[in-house]
Amino acid sequence: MIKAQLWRLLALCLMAGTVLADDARQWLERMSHAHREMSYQGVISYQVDDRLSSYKFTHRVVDGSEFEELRPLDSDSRDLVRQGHSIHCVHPAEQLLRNKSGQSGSLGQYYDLSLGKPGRVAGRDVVTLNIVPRDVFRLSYHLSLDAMTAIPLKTETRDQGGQVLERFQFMLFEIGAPQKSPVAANAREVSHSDVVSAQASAEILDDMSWQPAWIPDGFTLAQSGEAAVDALSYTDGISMFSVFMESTDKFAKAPVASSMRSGATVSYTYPIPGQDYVATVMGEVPLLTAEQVAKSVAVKP
Amino acid sequence: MSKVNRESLSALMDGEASELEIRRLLREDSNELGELWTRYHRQRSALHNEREFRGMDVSGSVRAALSDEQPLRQPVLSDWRKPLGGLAVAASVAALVVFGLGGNPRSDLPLAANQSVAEQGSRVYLSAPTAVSTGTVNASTASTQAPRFHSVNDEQARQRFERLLQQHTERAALNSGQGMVTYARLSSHGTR
Repeated sequence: MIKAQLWRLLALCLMAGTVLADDARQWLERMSHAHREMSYQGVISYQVDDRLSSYKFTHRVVDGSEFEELRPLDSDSRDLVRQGHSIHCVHPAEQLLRNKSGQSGSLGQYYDLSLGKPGRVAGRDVVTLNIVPRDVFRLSYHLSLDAMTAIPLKTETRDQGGQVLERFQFMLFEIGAPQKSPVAANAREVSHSDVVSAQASAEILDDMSWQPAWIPDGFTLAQSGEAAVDALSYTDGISMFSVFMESTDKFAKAPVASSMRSGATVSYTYPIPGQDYVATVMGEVPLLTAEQVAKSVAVKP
Repeated sequence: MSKVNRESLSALMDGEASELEIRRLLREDSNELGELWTRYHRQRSALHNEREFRGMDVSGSVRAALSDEQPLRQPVLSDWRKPLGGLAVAASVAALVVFGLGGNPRSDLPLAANQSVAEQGSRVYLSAPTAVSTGTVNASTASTQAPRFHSVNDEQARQRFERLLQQHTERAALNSGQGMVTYARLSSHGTR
């Protein structure tokens, strides 16, 4: 009798959990395009370990085209700008989130989504969204989305042990941006590579002389670089990693297997046995993922 | 599965398994054992009316934790030491598993407890290739706290990392839900 009641209670809890997860999915889906569709500006900080750097960030939409500018406030790095990017251009990760975040979506297969307590960031109300992986091949993300626009105001990337690897956070955020702001003369323009459709991605893989034999479930080819660059990028809608292939000639001394980390980004370099090539996996994933993908890269005969 | 293993598993659930039992279970590595473990936990969760059981595979996160850790000393090459190293790793796995039992395995991993957010001051860390089974002792087996990653002295490796980071970021920025903000990862690296 008591046991039956317990089961009913359990079922009820599970149902409540599902409703919450749906809300979380909707926020995630909104976030995937909200940050591109409107004009806003602010000051954002980037924290890794004990380093903190800050930037003035401007995002402006004019006639359906994006203009973005990132200006370092505490270093003499060059400003970065990107312009002329259509807001109607749908990127692979966004596509994945839109498809996967529906009822029948499979994003929930790889991540547990949940909404946390509402809070305040940069003087604005935020909803907090926790994205926790269900397997060991992904990192977890704790996002604070602007309650009005769903633009992420704070993003924390954590490893499997819950340790914060890096943090982006707006200190100041306002909707709308001045119609015209002068672009610094020495600003570097950032390119926008074309997006690859599912059909084209099969062709790209056919053309490559190599490819990884293993990638974690749920990752798909996101986009490939220019023909000159031997690289493939994969996304699961939330995390992203790239695989680079280089000839050993480029190395001054014989390359050895090694890994490096900066913030949430890790790289694993692996000289392919018996070949004059070195595979490097770089991305916001656990080292285990980078290592396993790098070791699986095979050169086609 | 043997009755002995079943009993050991049950003892492990209750936190009463001996170290030898844990080692035997870890060596087993059978699907059947994993399924039984999952079932025991689901039953317990239901009885205690805990939140949704996520069916997380602890052995996987243990593997991830180990591979993310910096070895304290270089792999030793002489053959006679290999079994020693193997034991040390087995012991550290056991420690991780036992710690992970208290509830949510993610938050209970000792990894979180003994590492601060602020690690080293330098920018990029180089870690040696993770060689778990070749006589390496992982940080969690030692009582001293060691940095997980060494600072990079190799200028060439650092430049290469930054060059690839730039290419990766150009691909990732459009797919991160954050746009160009992620370029901060790049320019926080230096004055170029």
